[in-house]
Amino acid sequence: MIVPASPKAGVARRQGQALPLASSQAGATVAASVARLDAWLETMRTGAAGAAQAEPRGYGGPVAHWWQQSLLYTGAGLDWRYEGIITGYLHLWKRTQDARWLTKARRAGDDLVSGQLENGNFTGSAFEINPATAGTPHEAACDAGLLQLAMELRRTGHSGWESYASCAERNLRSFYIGQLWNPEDLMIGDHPWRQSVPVTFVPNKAATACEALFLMAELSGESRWVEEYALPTLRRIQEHQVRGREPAGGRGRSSRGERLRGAIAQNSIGTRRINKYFPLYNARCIPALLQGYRWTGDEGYAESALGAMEFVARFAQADGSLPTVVYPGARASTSPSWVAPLGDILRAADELAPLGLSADLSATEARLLGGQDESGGFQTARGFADQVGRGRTASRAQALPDVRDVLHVAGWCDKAFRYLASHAGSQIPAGLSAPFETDCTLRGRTMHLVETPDLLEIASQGAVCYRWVKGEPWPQIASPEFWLR
Amino acid sequence: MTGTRPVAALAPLEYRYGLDAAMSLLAPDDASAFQPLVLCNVPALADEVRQRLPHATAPGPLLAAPGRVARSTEAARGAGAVRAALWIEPLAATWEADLKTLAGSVQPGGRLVVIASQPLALLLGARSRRGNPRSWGQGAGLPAGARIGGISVLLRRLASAGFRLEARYGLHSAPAIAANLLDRGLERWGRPDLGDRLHFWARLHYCVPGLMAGMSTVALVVANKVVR
Repeated sequence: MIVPASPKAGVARRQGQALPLASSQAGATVAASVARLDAWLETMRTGAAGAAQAEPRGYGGPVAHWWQQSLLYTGAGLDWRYEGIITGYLHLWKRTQDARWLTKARRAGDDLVSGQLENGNFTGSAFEINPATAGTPHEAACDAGLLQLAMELRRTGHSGWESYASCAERNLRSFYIGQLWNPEDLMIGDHPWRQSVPVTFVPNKAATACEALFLMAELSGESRWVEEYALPTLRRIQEHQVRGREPAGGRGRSSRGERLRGAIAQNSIGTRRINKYFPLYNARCIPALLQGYRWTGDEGYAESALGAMEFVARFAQADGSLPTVVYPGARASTSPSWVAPLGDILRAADELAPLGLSADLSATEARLLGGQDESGGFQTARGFADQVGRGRTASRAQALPDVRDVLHVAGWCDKAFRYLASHAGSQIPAGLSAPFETDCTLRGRTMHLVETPDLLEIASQGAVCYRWVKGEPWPQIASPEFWLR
Repeated sequence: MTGTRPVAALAPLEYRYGLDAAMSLLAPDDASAFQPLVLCNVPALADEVRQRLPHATAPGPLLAAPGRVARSTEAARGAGAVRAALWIEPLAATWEADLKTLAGSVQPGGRLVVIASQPLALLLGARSRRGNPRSWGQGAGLPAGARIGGISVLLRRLASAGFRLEARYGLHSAPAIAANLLDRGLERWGRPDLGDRLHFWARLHYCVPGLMAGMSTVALVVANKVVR
């Protein structure tokens, strides 16, 4: 049974409240952090406003990810970064009533509207796979951002909300319902279902689509978005959750199996379940499950959401770090261990606080805040260099962070931005993106990275091996190490 | 427009990898002047080119892919007209004529990047014999680089056409292919943790330089036009 949180329950805090430490000081610290992150985001704007754009305008930059990298395409990515950017600016607007934040949220919405293709997809929507379109969960995340923007504009009596709503609706109708909805298995799949054999289902991506569908239903007043598509999809997500001991295929002892209780498997391909459990992606399932709970009153959804977060919290280390993935047998991989993306985990914990989540993630919060650099950007992770395992690298290189660790990525920083903006005080100071530099390594080579508001440059032994002039869709210089996918 | 190819319909990774690398290899200091001559012989890759070079329909010495260089094009008429050229999948039937045109189009000091299938490519996917490599080349014949020794012949002819070889890379290397096969096996045998490590190892060894380049599915050749 779900027990609503009492005011004293653990570190429970409602979304929008200040951090639990000395509140005014914490609020000011977070506000300063958000201001610097906003300043950094401004440096990542690419493409000029105007007609007949051949390249999308918006937030650009290289991408480091667990699956693969996109260090070469640096143009705008109309992907899940917009979920956090739009929502973060809306948080700041609501907290401060300063119109400049609403203006920035609208500008981000305008990026998506102008970058929408005739078929309803968004250009450059595939994050680490860019350049490409029809990326998941990215387009649904864009829709969610657009719909929240439209709802806030409508709520506050501003004009023009309809264009953002219709942009999202067009994408949901043509792509998510028109192509990804699988009427045979009653779920939103990960590929156009007519072309996808076997059928692929990815719970966290489907959850993002459900979030957008709930928002669409709320905005339009049409319940079918939820009843016909979101709720059946949520039930599929629940089918991927470990209810008791570890599922078949795992070889761990029962105590290890218990550690996986509540975890949501990464995906399934046909009838084959891929039993990898990513804390970040588990957290990204939680908001949609809670929306299901609020819509139906079915406590099963809330229990699923709590179970997923309890799994995540069970693996939190004393330094606040979390594994990137947990395998059957509870074998955990911390190479890399996320920093900026932790914002999404903390956000999910916030949403669960009213339901009695008692996990203390304050160390994780501190780890996130500690990841901000002078530029205002947040580092992506720690430990990319060890993805293959500890190699025979030189001791100096071994001690250095990987380039991908220290890279500030718009599609990760948005997660920090959204979370921190929801905790900022009502006064946001002026922010500045200062130059940042650090030694780092990539594939065993020691390098030096410098980021300014205009440039990202990485050199090795005095020679520039990567130079991206911010705003451009490709780096001017990229040595073969940076071709890495 | 950039980023308009659906994820579900992307070209094989090694070609996208090569095209992304080419964007930086061919980039001038002034990005607004980035108009390489493009010769793409594979329809399946044409959209990949377009989404990386969104100005492909602009006037100038840029030839919209796909299609062979027509002798009457502005690019072909204007000897030394371009600073950079991208040649995708030379075909056995036409590569010598294309090279002659490219040699006449790239100015001294200019750069040519070639992306070409190698024999190993004929074992995989759309380019395999089962997948009919002729359709990959739009019926114009087999990829020139997919013949045994094809890339070596091409490199020699590039030299005699006035291009100096700067670098040669192999994309989707044999070690990476082997590691990926083993990675899938480990996943099926209940060790996805080890499988993932192999997957990341394969990524690090996806691109190999020099002599090892021949043992990969696709060649990426970088050559500069000699200043005489």
